[in-house]
Amino acid sequence: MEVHVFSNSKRSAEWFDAIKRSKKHVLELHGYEELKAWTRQYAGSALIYVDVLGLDEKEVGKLMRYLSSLGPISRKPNGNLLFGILDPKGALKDSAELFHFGAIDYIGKQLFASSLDTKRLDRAAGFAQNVLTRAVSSNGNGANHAELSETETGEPPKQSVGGIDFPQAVGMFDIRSVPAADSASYRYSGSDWSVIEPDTEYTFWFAFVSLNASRELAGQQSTGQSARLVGAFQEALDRYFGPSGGKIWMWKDFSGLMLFPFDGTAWAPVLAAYRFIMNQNLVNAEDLGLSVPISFQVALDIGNTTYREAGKTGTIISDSVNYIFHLGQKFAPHGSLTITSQIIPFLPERMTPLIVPMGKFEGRFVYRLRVPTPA
Amino acid sequence: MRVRNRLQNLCVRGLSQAMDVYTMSHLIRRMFPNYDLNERTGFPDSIPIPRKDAAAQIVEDCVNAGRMLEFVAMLIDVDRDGIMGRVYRVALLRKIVEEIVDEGYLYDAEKRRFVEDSVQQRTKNWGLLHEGEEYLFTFLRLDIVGNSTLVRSYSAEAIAQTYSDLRSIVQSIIEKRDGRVWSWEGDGGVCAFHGPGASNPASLCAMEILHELYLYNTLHCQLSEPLRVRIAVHNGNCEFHDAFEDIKSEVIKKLVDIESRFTDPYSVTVSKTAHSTLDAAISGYLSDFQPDSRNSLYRYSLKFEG
Repeated sequence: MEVHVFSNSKRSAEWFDAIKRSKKHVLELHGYEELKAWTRQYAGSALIYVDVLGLDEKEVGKLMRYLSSLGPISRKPNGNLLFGILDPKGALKDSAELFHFGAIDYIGKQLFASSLDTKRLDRAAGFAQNVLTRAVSSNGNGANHAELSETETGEPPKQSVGGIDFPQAVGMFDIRSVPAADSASYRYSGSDWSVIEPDTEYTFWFAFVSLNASRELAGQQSTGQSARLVGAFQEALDRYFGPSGGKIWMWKDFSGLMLFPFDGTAWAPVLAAYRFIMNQNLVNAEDLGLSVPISFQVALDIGNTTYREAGKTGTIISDSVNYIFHLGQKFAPHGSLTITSQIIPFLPERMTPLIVPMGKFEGRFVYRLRVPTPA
Repeated sequence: MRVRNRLQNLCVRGLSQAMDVYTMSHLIRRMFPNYDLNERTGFPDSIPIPRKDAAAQIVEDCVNAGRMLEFVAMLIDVDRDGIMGRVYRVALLRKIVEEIVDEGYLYDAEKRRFVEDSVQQRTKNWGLLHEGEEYLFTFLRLDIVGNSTLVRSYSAEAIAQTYSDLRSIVQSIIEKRDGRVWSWEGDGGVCAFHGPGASNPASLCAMEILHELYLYNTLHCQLSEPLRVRIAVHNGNCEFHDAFEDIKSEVIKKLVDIESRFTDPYSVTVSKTAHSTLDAAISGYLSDFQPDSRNSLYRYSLKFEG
């Protein structure tokens, strides 16, 4: 787990030395004044401790409201930060109130006098997970599939999805924090291609798909070999995405854009993309015959474009098409499935724990879906 | 396979037109090493056997031995590669193959043999194997972890639905790679893959079953806990019997042993012999482990990155 401490006190920073020595967690120290700038740009999952030494009651209240807006039960998309409060002098009158603001830990004067036990961090993260799981479950329909299994040794409960454990406690993404999808502009294209006419604007699912390490490949392989590799990759794409209506619409070198008809309800393209990314090793071995695997990349969005047949798309002007290419080429990490906020409402609730916020790209919130990989 | 008279006649004509009796005799010994054409036809050594009689006897013997597909595959090899550097064209070969395709078989050029057309039929022996004969197989065994506890903890309907879903997942993945589910009890089964390169599809199937089971647990499983399985892959020579319970084989015993003793829940274990025949593109995903001094095995499982 990443632990970030925001304090101007040397003693407070030293109190976390035990984390430095343990190899289980990564510790970074920051000045208190760096808090806002750091939280604005950070897009991962972390536990942060903020030192309130020297702050008056009003300043503490302001800080709590700010931290609450970042915290895992907040409505903001950067919801993967868990936070605890350091109070070395025991100055806060009502420490329990911190938890009402979403804090998951409080280090008071007495605890500060003893040394830090690193298991406390796991317990705090486990507590957060426990509370959040209940919170999300109680807000949704049916059971949330994030499981918590208490270990016999009294270790903090493990989180898992589909029976596979997360390596560490992770902040639960709050689906309520996602801005509502802009459905007013949807021009539904149906559940299949039967009603789609050329030169008409529709809403589609867009999937940017890419065979990565393209530069390395381009240098090492002959044109014929590269063409065969791309051909095999495209066949695999057809096999995985074809049943959900996916068609390769544009292609250049090692990447392209697939379109899927959009009826406003089905989410089959997301499941197909998830399965494709999860099965990268199988596709590499079976379809591409590569003993040194190449990672794939899929970025999904929903948007509008005028439809023309593949090969006749040269003059199409579409913000959505531009955006998905930029997202895939400039932002989406290799080997991963990246989605925009437009996709989130279509995900089944059981997939919520797999969502990892990645921040904003060109004005839209972007997320990654956790996908299990070979151990 | 049912052999119609038309197919039999085409084969006799094709064979007799393609080569002389000496070459026919030489060729059929690839399938039946001690084959004596004079003895089979009743012609004494001093009298030459007419081509048509020789060809008819050979084809009839192949039909009676249930090895017609193997014989035609051999004719295809002869037509393409010749014999001892000499070219032999089997003139009616296209029609012969069309007859076999009509019976529900396709020619697999890579494996150089006929395989069942899975759209038309799917038999336990791929339409090729003979009762009691020994072949090289790769086996995949799958077992549900904690079956007894699950059965006690959930309603019969929930268990029946869940186990049926698992069977559907397994069957579709196995048959996609030309494997066969040979045995299925309530909580798991044994699947077979035939041929020298079969550890590749068997291992890929094992991996994909884990992937699909993860998706099933994440999205569809109606139990309040994930369904977990143990999967083992092992290969070796084994007698084929249509009834699975008649197969008494050390390979199957070892497979059960690997699955039950050395496989963690939610993981695949591949034996050393199966691993040694895997393509590098697949073996690279397996990590080796040594559960005891006598066994060296390979494991595949899934994890989330940090």
